[in-house]
Amino acid sequence: MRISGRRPLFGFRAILGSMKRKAVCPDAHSFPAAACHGLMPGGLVKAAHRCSRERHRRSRERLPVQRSQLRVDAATVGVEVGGWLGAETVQLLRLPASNTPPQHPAASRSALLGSHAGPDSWPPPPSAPTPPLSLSCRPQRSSAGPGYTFEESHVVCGTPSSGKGAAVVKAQPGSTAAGVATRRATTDSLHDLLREVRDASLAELLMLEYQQLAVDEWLASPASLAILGHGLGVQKILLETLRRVLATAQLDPERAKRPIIVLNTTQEESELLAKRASEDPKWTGLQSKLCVIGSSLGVDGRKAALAQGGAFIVNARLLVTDLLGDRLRPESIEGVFVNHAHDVGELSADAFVLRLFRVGNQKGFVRAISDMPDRLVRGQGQLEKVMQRCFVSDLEIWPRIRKDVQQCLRHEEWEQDVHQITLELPQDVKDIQGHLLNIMQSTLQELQKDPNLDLGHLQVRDSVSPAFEAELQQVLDPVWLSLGPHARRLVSDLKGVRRLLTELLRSDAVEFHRMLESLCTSGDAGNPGRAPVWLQSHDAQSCLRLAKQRVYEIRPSPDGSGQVLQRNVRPHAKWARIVEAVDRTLQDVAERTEPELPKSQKGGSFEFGSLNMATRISLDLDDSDIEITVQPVVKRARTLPDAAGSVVEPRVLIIAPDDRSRRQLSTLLHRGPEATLLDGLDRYLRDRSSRGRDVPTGIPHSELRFGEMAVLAREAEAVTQELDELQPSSTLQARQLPDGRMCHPRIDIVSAEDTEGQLEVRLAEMRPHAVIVFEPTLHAIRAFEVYCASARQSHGASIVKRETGSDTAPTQQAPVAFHVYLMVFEESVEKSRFEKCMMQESEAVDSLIRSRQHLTFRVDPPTEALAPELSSRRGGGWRALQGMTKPHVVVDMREFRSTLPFMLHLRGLVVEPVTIPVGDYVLSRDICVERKAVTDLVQSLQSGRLYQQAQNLCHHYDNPLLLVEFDPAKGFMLQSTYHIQRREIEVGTKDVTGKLPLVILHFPKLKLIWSPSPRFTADIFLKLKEGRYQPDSKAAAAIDAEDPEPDEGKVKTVQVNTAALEVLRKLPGVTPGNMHSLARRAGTLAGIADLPLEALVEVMGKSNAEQLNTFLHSSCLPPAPTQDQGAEEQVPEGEEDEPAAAQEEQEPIEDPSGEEWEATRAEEHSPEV
Amino acid sequence: METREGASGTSRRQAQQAIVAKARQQQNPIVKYIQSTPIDFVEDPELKPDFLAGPETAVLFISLKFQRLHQDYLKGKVQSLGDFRNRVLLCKVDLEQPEETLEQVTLAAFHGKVSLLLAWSDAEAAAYLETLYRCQSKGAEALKRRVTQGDSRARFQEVLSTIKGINKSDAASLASRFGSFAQIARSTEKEFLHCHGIGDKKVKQLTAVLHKPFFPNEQSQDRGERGF
Repeated sequence: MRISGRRPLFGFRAILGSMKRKAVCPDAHSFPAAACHGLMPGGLVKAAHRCSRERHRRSRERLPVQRSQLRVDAATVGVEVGGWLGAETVQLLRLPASNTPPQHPAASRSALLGSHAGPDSWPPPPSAPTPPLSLSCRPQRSSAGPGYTFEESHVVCGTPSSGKGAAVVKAQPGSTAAGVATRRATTDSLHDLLREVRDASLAELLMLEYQQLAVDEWLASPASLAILGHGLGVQKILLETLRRVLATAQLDPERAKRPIIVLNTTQEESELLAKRASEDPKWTGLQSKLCVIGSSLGVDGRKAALAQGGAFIVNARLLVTDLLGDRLRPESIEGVFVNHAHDVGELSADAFVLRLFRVGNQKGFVRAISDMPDRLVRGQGQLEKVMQRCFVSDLEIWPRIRKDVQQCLRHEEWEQDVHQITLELPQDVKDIQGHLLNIMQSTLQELQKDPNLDLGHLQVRDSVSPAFEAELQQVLDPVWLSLGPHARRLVSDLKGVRRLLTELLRSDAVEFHRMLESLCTSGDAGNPGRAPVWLQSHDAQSCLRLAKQRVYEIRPSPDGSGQVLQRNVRPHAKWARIVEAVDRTLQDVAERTEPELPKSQKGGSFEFGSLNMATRISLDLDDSDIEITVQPVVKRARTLPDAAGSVVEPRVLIIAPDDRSRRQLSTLLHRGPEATLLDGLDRYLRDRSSRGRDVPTGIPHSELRFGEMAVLAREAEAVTQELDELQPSSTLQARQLPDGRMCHPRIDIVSAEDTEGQLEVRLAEMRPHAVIVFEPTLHAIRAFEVYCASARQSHGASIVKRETGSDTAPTQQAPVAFHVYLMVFEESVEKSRFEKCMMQESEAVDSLIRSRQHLTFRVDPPTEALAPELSSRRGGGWRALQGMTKPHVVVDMREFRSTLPFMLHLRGLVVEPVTIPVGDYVLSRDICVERKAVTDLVQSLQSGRLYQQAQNLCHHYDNPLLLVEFDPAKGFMLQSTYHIQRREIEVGTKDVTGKLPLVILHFPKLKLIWSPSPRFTADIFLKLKEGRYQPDSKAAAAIDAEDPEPDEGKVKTVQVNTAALEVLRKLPGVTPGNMHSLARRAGTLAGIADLPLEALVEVMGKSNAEQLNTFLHSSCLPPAPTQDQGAEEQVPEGEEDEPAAAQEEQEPIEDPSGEEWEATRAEEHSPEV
Repeated sequence: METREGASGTSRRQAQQAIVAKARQQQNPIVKYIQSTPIDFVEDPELKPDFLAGPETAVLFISLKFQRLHQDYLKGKVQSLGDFRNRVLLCKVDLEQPEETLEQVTLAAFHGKVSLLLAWSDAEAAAYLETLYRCQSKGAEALKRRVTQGDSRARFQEVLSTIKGINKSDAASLASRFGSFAQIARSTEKEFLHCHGIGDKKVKQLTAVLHKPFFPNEQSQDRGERGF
């Protein structure tokens, strides 16, 4: 292990340090992302227009572009425009020209139009003379030689934030003014662009240079995978790329109709993406083109939506059925984006969509993105596999150590504002942590003793990493069934200890103690086997003792009479620091804003002065249910002459590690540390003293000693009282500053576990003055880095704005100070977890870079799979026939959750998605298959669902099959060996082993297929179909509709009215014993309702008969109108306002089908309808 | 019964008292795991299956290893299995890579109309055999959904939603419309149609369940009794 605590510094600097040490990788990762800088005298925009018009004309008329001819223009324009933009700089990008796909001429005419000038080698040596400029535009790329040239570029014009202006990049000394191009082809609009630059400059944080680069690079290849480091803003890059692709497509009416698909995005994330897009001014005009498609839309709605074109974030399962059902043609898809590429499973629906798309459409693009480099190196050849699945051949890696990223995220300027608050771990916590680690160690060792298990590389020090559980699962899955209960218990113990370790540092003493106790006593009620194995160890005992001591101690009272409780509980060590940091920020902001206020307002900076003071300020606590409203006592504020200056709103963002601690922190901020603590203690003591009796004995230290309970109860009273008396010391209250202004703090707490991208959005939205990080998390810290860098950049943009707006000389405005408080315990698990994460990432990046260098494989475009020849002994005629009709399988729509349809497709079967009521797969006219994964099988055997399904299958098909499907990763075995050996002597039908034979006995027609893998299943399906008719999807779908009145032919064979018997079985008082005689006696179900009680008694005995009678005739009306109801009398339960009906109902008992009665009833009811 | 193929009448009768096994199955390792059920070994040339777990349940036993070595054995056995209500093939998986052989067994079972049961150990195979024997006359109650106990309204809904096509909300609307089960049973198609959410299809279903006799083939007999 290379990194193990010997890092001197920690936090940002440490990250930076480690990255620097690792240096720039051997690969050419310092891609020439060159920027150059030009000055642009104002008002010479026309030249640019001229130039671009000329280019358009040429490209429209397919005239060769004379490079020399345009060169001049470009140079002039570049200089002119660049100068006019002032601090705006233009970013030049290099693209591998040969990789760029040929563009549709019509599209290119008006597309993102790019021209730019660039020197032939990049970056230019600082001393070199200005290289000649060259320029060409996209369609005429012919002049480009092999390899990389700098002919091509996107035009990045405007600020990245507006997307319509020029890219803003730092000027580099030595580089020369080069060029600018207009993005819009319709040339009226450079003015517009520039205006937009102004308007949008602060609306959203700018895209960073490396993000721009990443977008460009990603766009450069029609099939590429981009891997970013954690927290470097994937969503932003995805959105921006999507926007650009969309914008390009919109320019061409034909392409605008073609859908662009975004795959593999969860519901929450797609909503977030849509929200980000809708709030982003860059997306103006395109917002309606981004749709999130859920299942609620329905098949037809989806089809209509897709036909309109645009970008669609859609669930792959739905899309698969559309593609297979020919509602969406792959050729019509413009391209596919794959979010979270690391998650694309081998046989997942996403992979299915990608394949269907690729088979039918060789031209469209596939762009995959991922920000989990460590997930892409877990397992053998994972990267290649993912790339194969996505059909991408190019790989771009954007780790934190890449030069471009490094440069962007340089933090010399703001690094001094990072306060790393390193806390000593309190002694008792340290001890507990040590004990817990020992427990972990011994548990792991114990687990290693299991002969079936090879934990291999897993060590205790790995156990802090968040990926530990996944890794352990990987090791365990194949052998899980052969593990005994002891090993299983150990595994669950490991999880428990890991949770304790995290919780120890996150929550306070009381919470931790409560958790430890509940873990220790969890299994004790009747099942001693579930208590953790380590409970009896020495470490566990000390742990329990210490944990309790942290909360309270019982001592003999000084006067010798009885016992007293000594409260030991202290607030969490980080709490005080948080409150401190918040206070400090409030002060800071208050002091700072005063002199800066007017300026920053003019600059469109961060103060806003339009708070409506009369209303209550509701603090948005991140959608949590706690919504606290603070009553500002600020009437006076209004009367102040300068309303804008009268309010200060310091904004603080706190990052909590999980939801639980988020809640606790919010209590802390609202009520102060004391109250939070007492609150917890109060709850705990009450709970404990009332529950004390039930806690089983046998666990030392968790057991209450004699008299302790009374003491606890007493203490609980005291605590409650104290709590009542306590003055709330909220940090959130509005307060008045000494100079008369009001201070309204706004504090948001987000959880690091939230949906991806939430943090970035929140940061950009809130623009906090300070961020407090409760526990170091890689993702969050990266998000700050990115935020800081873009804040700095947008600050730069604001200068431009003022320049153009008023003619004042640019004054250097200090960026809004931004403090980060990073709380971390020295020598703690959280710290090593963080380090572990970083290490894993950097190792992953290393290995990715290496494999990128050696990336040798080629991604072949998939061809349509053909069913394998079954036998060579068939005659030629058969073969021709086979060629014409590919084997079909009808698959239920709901089955696309599983991997089997994809496998069937891969094996050359034509998959027809249809909603079929009976069975899951219809192989031929007589074969229908119900698929059950093992867990599903157990469940549906238990619930009785399988019985129902088997019944239906056997009723409708001649060869019903039950497919028992095993997960290839989990081993081919139904029951654990241990379980079988220990099976009770008495053979029961409670478990699967008991119920399966019962199924076989009751459904002799139903055959079983046991499949170790989807591949096996597909092969079996093919073999079973041999020589049989293709299935008829219409017939399969129609089965249920004809059910009530089965075919005439079938009626004769029906022996019993099963549906009616099923209902009969459910009636109360009906037992298997009396069911049949009752059925015979009554004839029909309606007949039973007419049987008098005596007849019922005769058939089924008194108690059963009464039960049934009550049920049959008792009211089920919501208000339950009748009360007087005798068992003998058949009192009808009509509504009370229907006495006539009630009267008449007595009679039809003799004559149930009386016409008159019917008529009456109908009349009685009709007014209601 | 005596004349049916597959096993002699004696064997079949014997199978009511114990699992009947062919004599040569004594060497089968699974036999020693059959501990809680009597097992008889018989020398009966007429007995085709390896085991008789009840008079109507024929069980063949094969292990994948054996199948790999003697590929034609199983086909012959299945073909000559004889006439039983339940035909079961008990297969022990003892190969590391079972796919290929398992495919042969699966296909043989399918074409021979035999239900396939896989066991991964002798003990598991024995457990299946015992369960088959023990459950031969057991009803399907253990497989069916347990009836929920609850107040009459919940029960009412449960009962009505057993009928195909009737969901919980239909049940609720029927309940509020007619009041009791007896009322529903007496109602006619027209009245059902007044109910919210009930259309032609559901009415058909309802009347089929409520008014079709339980045993359509015994109608004449039924009528006689219904005169009561």
